[in-house]
Amino acid sequence: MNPCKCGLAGTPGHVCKRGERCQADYQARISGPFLDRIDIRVDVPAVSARDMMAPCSSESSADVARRVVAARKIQQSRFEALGAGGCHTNSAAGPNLIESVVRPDRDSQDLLMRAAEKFSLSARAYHRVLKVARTLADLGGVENVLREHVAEALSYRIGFGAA
Amino acid sequence: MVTIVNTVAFRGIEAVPVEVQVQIASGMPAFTIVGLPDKAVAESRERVRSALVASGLGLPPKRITINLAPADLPKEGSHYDLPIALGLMAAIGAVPSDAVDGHLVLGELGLNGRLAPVAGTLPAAIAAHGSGRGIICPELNGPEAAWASDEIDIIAADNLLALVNHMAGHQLCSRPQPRKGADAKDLPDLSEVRGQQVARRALEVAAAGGHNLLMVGPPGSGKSMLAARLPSILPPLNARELLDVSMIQSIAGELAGGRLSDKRPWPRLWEVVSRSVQARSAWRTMAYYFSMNCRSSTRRSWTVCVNPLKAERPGLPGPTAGCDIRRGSSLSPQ
Repeated sequence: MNPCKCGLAGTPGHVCKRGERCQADYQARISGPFLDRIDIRVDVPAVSARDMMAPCSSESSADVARRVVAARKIQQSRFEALGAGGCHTNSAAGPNLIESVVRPDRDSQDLLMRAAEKFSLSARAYHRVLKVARTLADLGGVENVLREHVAEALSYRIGFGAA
Repeated sequence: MVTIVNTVAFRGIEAVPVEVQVQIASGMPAFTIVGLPDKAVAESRERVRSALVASGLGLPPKRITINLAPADLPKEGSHYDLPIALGLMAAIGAVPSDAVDGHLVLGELGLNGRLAPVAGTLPAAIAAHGSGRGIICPELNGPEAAWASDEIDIIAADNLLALVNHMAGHQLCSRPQPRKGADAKDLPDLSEVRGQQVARRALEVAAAGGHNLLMVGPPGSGKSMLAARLPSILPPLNARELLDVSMIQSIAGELAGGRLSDKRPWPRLWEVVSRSVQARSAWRTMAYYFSMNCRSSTRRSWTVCVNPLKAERPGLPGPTAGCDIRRGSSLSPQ
């Protein structure tokens, strides 16, 4: 979605004639309950001319797909070992199942606690953060969910619309 | 005496068995179809009559009654032409009455007796295989039906006359072979996207864990471009997902040439109205497919997806209802 009606809110140097309400009103068209169900929200800023002129050196789909497949295999074998064969991805795991596979250490718990209080995370949001953190750990090939994973998962949920 | 031909009706992607019962009795000449036919089924009378004439047969001047049982299930679509025609031909003795017994029949007839392809052959073939029957379908739907099983008996004919000749043993319709569609090689590649490291990472995470993703940014920043590259980083469809997706494509009439592909379906999002459908897991793939794939086939796919849900959730919007997200990029990869 665009950040506002003209789509330029947050672009450096852009001043909206309609004022700040324009952005708020536009974004309010998507309801809170709907947004609460989104696991990952990410800002996609405009690409600068410098980036466009730089030689294209980004990763190809095949490389990314390899990591994705590896992460999915980890998830599948984990859920099968727990007897939840019907569940293939972290996002599909139920609350009990996800709590049994994500055991945040003390550091991560502190971080989660503070974030939950500061940003008033809903119960659903809490579980969704855990699920994304689990996926991040799987992508990194790490057995336990670490603080950095929880922090990245939280960053996908809060601070949205800052662009 | 009543002649019975087996066919199917579709409830979502589920094929419900339907019997076409044909009775030819003495009385005032008439041709009636009962059993909740919609307009397309009711009009099949004219197509069947002409197709029979084109094949060198005429309807007897008697009272012809066709019943589509169960009578309380609405019958939609043009695929009842062929079972009705075969039922009539069996009733007047033009084909042996036991020729169609072990088969499920579907196909649309042209006035010249040509068999036109119909939607829903794949679910019908799977239902036929499940009940130990073969399937009789138009030639163009043959490859699609062949995906149901290696063992299923398929008669895929180009026209009514060829079908009759096949049944009489004068001419053989060869068994169609399943065809594979385009593979994932020709998908747009992520290397075409410049910059956007954060969004690329988010896309990868979404693909890895099956998470949903909302991208927010000014026009032209690459949201749609990134979204269109999601299928290229997702693992190919597994057998179960492939079946689900193909059955929806089959019912929506979008399975070109009966080619199944393990490529994940992808729409042109900028022309799409996104809808949020809270669906039970069995329908999730369909809802996903719909939300991803609703341009020209919108109405039909939507109807296919939502009709079975409506009974449970009366509040679901119809095919023309308004959208929640304008120019949205809300993805839910499964």
